[in-house]
Amino acid sequence: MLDSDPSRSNLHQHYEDLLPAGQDDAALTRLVHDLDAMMNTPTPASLQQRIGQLLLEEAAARYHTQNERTPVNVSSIRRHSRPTLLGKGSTMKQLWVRRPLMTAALVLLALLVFSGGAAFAFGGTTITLPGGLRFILITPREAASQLQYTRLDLTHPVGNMQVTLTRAAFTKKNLTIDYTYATQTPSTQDGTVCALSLTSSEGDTFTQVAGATPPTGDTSSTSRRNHGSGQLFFAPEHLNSTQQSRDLHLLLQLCGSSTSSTHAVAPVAFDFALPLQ
Amino acid sequence: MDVPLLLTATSAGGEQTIEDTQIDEQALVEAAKHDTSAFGALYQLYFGRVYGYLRLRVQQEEDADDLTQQVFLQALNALPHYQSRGAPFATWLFTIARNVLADRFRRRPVTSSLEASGDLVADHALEDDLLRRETYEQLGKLLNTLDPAARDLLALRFAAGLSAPEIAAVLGKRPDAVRKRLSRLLQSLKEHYHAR
Repeated sequence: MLDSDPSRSNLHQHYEDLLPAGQDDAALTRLVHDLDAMMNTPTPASLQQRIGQLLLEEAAARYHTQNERTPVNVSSIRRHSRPTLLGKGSTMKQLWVRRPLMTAALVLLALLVFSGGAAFAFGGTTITLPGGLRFILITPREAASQLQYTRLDLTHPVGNMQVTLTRAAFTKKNLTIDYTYATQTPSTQDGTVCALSLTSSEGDTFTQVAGATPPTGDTSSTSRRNHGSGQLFFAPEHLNSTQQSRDLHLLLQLCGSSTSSTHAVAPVAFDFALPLQ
Repeated sequence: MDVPLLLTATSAGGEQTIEDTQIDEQALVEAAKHDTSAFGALYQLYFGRVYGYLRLRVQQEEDADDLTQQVFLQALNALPHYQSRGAPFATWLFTIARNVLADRFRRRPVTSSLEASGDLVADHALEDDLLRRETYEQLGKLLNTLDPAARDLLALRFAAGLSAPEIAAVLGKRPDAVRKRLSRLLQSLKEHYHAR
């Protein structure tokens, strides 16, 4: 059997329908514990990021179809360039001449591939993108890698976890916050952020950007992470003043557990100041 | 874009009232219905559960990867037409997952589900000790003696993390019937599991 006793309180909380309170059936508890441990397959972070990126591209394509405000998107480039790049009997010269749109798409694709997305920074002048899509063409991770961070090291307990905002960066286009979490005891939390809000004393408004980096970390014996890190991404919707720094107020709420995601731990506030780059 | 700022726990006096809250999942869904870029929050919430469920239902890890991608793509595309009708979002998402799975089984029949337990044992064994591996092997063999519907039920409860009423909604059955089936199933498993 397992080398450690199941955490009974957590187990009964998750499976209260299977383990009724007041009935101390050790064999049933053991079975439920082992089923829980066995069936909580470790989720590959790389797969989560890969599918997440695909969804962002799909979302961009859908937005393009619905609004026609975005002349170019990644998905359409890939779809159109793949099948008949050099059709039967075609030469490269014919391709360039006969397919100017294809040529333009290939140039954009090359820019995307070789610059890792940064090429779309010129979108501010030639491509009008709705705010929500800025981070779809330039992924949050790519944008975050170009920022200058301010050290925060703010730690607060969130449920039975210690959450630390380690650093953050703030520009007119994005605000990125790195965080870590840790717990010393078996936890029903897994470091996943369930909900967020960010405000400033100047009345600025921020939108959480889909595609935030999911937390990564070690797993405990019941497949719940007990420490790890993640990133939060926001896009400023409206900046109210021209001040070069902001007093910011972040409310952070972690999910209760990976198997009962509708329960959340109480939100906790972090207050900090950041310079506007 | 109006992504769910669900933490409006500030009183009139400005003093934050901190207490356990229920995530307004419906607000998340509504936001994603009108702005697909908000789908990321739902994706983060459900990726692990969907992947875990599918990983248990197919033999190959690659199949689970592929099916997970299909589920979320279908969900993204169908989301504008989603109507809650009082059922949690999870039931809708796992109905999609089961449909994707059924479609895969139709096109490429497999010997049985939860036969994946053999692979799962290997997965866990990479990081767990020998004792735990033996436990999973024993449990895996036991689960393989169950009929597919029973294995699906267990996967929905333990891997997908659905409650009995949610499972009932996914399967089109009554919650009481699901509870009884689960209870009987566990009692039966318990007898055989600990008789070994």
